[in-house]
Amino acid sequence: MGLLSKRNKGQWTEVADFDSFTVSREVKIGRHTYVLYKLDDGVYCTQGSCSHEYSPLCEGIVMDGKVFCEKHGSRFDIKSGAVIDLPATENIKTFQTKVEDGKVFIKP
Amino acid sequence: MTDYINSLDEHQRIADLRKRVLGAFEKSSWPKTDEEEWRRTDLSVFDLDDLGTPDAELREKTGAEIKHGRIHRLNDVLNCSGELIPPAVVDRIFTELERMADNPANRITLWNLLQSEEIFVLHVPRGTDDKELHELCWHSLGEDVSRHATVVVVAEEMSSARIAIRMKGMSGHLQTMGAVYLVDDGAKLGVSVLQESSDEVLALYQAEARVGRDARLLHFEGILGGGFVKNRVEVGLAGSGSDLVLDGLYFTDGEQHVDLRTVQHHQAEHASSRTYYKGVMKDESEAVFQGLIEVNHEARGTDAYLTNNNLILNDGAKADSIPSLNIKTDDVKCSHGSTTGRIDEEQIYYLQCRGFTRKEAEEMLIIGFFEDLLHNLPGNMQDDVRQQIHRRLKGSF
Amino acid sequence: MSSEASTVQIDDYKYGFSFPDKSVFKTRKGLDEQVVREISHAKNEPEWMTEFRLQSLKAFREKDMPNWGADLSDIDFDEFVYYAKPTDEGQKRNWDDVPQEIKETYERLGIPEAEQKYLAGVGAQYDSEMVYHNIREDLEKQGVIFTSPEEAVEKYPELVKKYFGTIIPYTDNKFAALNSAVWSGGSFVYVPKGVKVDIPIQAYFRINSESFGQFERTLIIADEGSFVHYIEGCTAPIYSTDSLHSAVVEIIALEGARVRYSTIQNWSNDIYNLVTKRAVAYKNATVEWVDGNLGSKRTMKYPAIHLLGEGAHGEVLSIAFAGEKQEQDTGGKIVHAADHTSSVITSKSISKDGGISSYRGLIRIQEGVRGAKSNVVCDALILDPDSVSNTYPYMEIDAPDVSMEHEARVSKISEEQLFYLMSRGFSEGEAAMMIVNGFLDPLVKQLPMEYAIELNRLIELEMEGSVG
Repeated sequence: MGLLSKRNKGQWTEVADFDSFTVSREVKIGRHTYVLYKLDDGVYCTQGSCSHEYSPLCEGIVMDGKVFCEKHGSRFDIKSGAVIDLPATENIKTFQTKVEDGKVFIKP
Repeated sequence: MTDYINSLDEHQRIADLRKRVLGAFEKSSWPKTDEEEWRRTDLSVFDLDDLGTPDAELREKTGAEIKHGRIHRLNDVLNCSGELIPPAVVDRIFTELERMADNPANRITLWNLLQSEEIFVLHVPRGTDDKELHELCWHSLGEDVSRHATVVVVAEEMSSARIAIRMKGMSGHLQTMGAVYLVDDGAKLGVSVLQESSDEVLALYQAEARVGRDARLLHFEGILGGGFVKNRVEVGLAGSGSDLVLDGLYFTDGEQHVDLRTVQHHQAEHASSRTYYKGVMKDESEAVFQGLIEVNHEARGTDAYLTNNNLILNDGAKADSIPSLNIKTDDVKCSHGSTTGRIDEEQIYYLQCRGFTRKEAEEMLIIGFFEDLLHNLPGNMQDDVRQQIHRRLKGSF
Repeated sequence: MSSEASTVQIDDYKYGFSFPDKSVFKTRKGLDEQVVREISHAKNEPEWMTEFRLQSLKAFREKDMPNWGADLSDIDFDEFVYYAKPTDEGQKRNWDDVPQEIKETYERLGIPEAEQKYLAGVGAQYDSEMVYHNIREDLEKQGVIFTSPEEAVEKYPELVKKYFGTIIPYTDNKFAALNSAVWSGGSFVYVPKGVKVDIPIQAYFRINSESFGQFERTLIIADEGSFVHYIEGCTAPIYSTDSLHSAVVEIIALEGARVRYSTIQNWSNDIYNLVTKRAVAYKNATVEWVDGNLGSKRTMKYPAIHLLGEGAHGEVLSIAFAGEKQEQDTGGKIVHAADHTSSVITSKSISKDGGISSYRGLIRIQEGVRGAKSNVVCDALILDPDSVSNTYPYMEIDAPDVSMEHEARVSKISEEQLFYLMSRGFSEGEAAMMIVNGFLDPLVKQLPMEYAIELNRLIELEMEGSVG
């Protein structure tokens, strides 16, 4: 993989071992970051940073299917990406995931 | 790291300089997003510490080339003991490099000094008027390596010269170019930098310049390539009556990320400066322009302008514009302006009525948008810029 | 009988007098869980509010001080008193019932007089508590609520729970967290659907205690199609130690509503003024912040508007005057989160006698938003070589169908203008004053006349003996 390994849009891309995290973790493809979350019914994926001020969402608390941004307390629905609390006003992007042979794949 | 430096097999003075830099480099850390300048450009997504160094063969075959003019390699200059460049000028170049090592803009300055495969120097002697363009071109190559080069230009009193630096890297590596431009009293220096690398290349260009009394620097940067680009150009208007023009043009597409920083720092009286940057963003690319006018308490009679205009061509593309002013005296005329919008539909309609297709009309308007920045470029570079934009607009919309 | 006010003679700050501290209850210096519980207890609050305060205290402790903006390094949070209750008698509706000394303070500030003449309602806060809140009877009959947030918690818990802390969550920043932990006083305004409050309502904030922290909390809800203009004024005596004013103001403008919020901040120059103000504007709603900052030692304040509904409009008019040893770090933030939203920020700043004024602003146009328009103009005047002016505008444009324009200028009083006016027989001081007035005129015009006059007078005081 090169430094700026291309994001294959719409292609399943392996990003992590399923066992490499318990609640959430950040993964990277090229210059883009993503966060994986383990919720009750499976693995979900959102963009890596808050839509408000760039803070990494992997540092946020995950509760009831929502993630809180560490920096200013904005809250997002992990499954839909919908913003719930200010100060953020913009939804975050979500991406499809699948788990195969203990590996997590996302469709960036 | 030491192995790599030893493998460069250089004159002792350069090796000593690298030693001086190594300690500082090891103590420093990569710029982080909690620093304002780096908030929008996150280097931590790259594992910079894991990047390799180019081996001798790669350096040999894909190092930067001197295309035209009197540019020399510092190592050759030292080995030819005074024939290429007078010893006093060489001393000055080292003083400057040491100053950079002691007061780096950030860790990348140190990294660049530490690992530069070549340090190029251009000396324009007092009073000479170089008609010929000095040109450096770098077809850097490599996978998961970092490639570095440095350029130092000394334009002595009342001299006049132009230098072009073209970066045309390919494949997934990181490329840094560090530059120092010393424009002595009454001298005129033109610098044209073009970034034309492929979109797998991570490219960093950092320039520092000092402009003396009644001297003039014209610095142009054009960003037409590179997947991830972070540049900074910081100029001190150190002599009274000095004059600075910072021009910039960026056309981004695909998933390109471009972040450009300029500083026009007024340190002396009655100096004037103008920054003029224009960008067009396409596809899912994003561009950041961060310009600063800084006026010291002593810099009375400052006249400084800063302008940034952006066109966003489609949904998904982004532009951040941050033109700032820090003014510490009252006797100034300073202003900045910034606009962001899209191509004027009325103008497209007008051109369509004249028989052009929509695509042609859009291209004409985009080239037209940049046109006033192209005048100051050497002729062949003007055409190259137009062609590259034409090529990248093809098949779009 | 009236007690003697001790007037500290520093410059011409005419509000620099103080009365002896006769607080009936004060928390001890410093801040911890105990202090927060004491404040909550003194207010006899429901459990949910106590809990909110304690959560906020935790957030306050965890958050870093801002690493940008004005220099706050000499703030010592252990040195402030966070709550001082001026009277046991609670909030009055009849001016005559307000305790004598407090009443005298406000009379010297001209408050009751103004109420009779120009205002639909008046609130007055003395240190930590609102001592007076009154609103015109006809408005009250139409359902307009204008009271202290404490009374709102008690009387309108549903409205409070629905909106309190939703626009500015306690996690927003260190000072919003601090306010959320120790808030006291402020205003709660609710304007029902379609009701237009034709003349302004005003709240007046006064700090009397030394080394004190005032943390008022204001929540304004303008229901669909309503209108209200809220004005706040602030003054304090001058002491040798610093005080802290850290307010949180939240505004909700529902569909078609219009809210205008005007501030004439004239704190004495030993006050740190670190305020978070934010509004949300829904469909076709308009929010305007008129923000005049003349006083304080250091101010950091960037009134924000989130344009959440189609056709919403936001305006920030900012005037800053930074004199000797003052730092005004002010500006405005607008987020365009819906189609066809528009915004205007106009900033005028003056730096004098080594003062530092900084404009800091943000315009963000979110991805997918169509037809957004924004215009930002910053003008700065530097009156002498020792003063400083900074401009930091941030424009984050994530959509193509937009029109974003920004311009900024920094200049000094031009010699030609001075010469021209002096040749017409004005003294240099008069000429300079006229030029400064002309510079501010477009903004001053936005204020109701009596405030415009007040502002002009304050600037005249600041300018006195300045130009030479």
